[in-house]
Amino acid sequence: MGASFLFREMTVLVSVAVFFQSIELIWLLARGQVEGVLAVRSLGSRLEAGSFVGRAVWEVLFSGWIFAGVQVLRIALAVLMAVRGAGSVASQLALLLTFYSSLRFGGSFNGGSDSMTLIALSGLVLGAYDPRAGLLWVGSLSILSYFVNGLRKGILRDWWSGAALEAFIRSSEVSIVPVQMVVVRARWFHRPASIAVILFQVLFPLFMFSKTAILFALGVGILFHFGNFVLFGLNRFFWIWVATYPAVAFVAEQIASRGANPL
Amino acid sequence: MILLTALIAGWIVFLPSIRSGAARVLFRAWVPVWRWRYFDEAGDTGCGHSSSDPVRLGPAALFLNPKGNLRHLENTLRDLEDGS
Repeated sequence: MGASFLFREMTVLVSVAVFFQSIELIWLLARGQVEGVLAVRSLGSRLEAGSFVGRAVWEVLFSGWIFAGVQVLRIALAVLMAVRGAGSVASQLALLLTFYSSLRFGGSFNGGSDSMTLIALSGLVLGAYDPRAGLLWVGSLSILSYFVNGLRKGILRDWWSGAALEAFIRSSEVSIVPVQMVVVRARWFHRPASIAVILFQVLFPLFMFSKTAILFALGVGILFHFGNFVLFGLNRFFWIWVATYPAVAFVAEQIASRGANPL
Repeated sequence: MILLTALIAGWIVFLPSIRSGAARVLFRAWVPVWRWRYFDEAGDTGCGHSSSDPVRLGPAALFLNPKGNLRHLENTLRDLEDGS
């Protein structure tokens, strides 16, 4: 599969992720629920705006109407990029407005999913000039995110025993509850599932060396992120990480072609 | 480039009134791949907060999950305030 095709696929999937993210924020704004959790007034101190003028500027910049307008603009850009492709202007604007949205929450609304969204959008910016560069940027960071997380779990005994996984699932406040209850009660499941997650993440870079292995890895990845949605309510992670998969496939293709013709 | 112009303009305008806070946010939001915490799903859920009012999801939440994500944010902010 060529770089242009995979870049196009990645653009569509990233646009879908941004689309849903923006609608969620508009939903929360419309119900007045954002201010109650993290007031705009508190942003100044979080961002260390040293002067009264600075804090006042932040309060205007992140006021409800402006923030809502930015989300509407993000939706429009997402639709535009999905239909017309990631032109340099659209992708830069989408990146800028997504960073603005992250700033509203002191850095991120939903942690790692916001970080990967910024990475994916910066890949679209790069890719508007050279699709290969954009794909390599996003693909390599996506692969690294699995590896680093697996490594971090791998050094903790509680992850190898399954205790950490059981504790997280049991204490999850956001889930498809009937499924969560079944998984919590299935104590035999926790340890092998935990070991499988560690191995999947740590070995993820190695899957790049075989076409069959990468297809397997991406399929498992989709199930992994879907499972995280079911048990922890992490829907944003599902969409944005899957959006990076065309880039991961491109990296795997590059590695495979180097292996077939190392010179 | 629009982005570069906006970033430079933003820093020029806000630099006198912003110390390191926004810079930390920029760094934290962008490419913190070596800082595993920002890609750790378990950490992002703020798990460990038991609540009598869990957010019960349906299948549609795969697409839109505003209540659930807001709960994650609340838990994360509480963790930050607690210093955990």
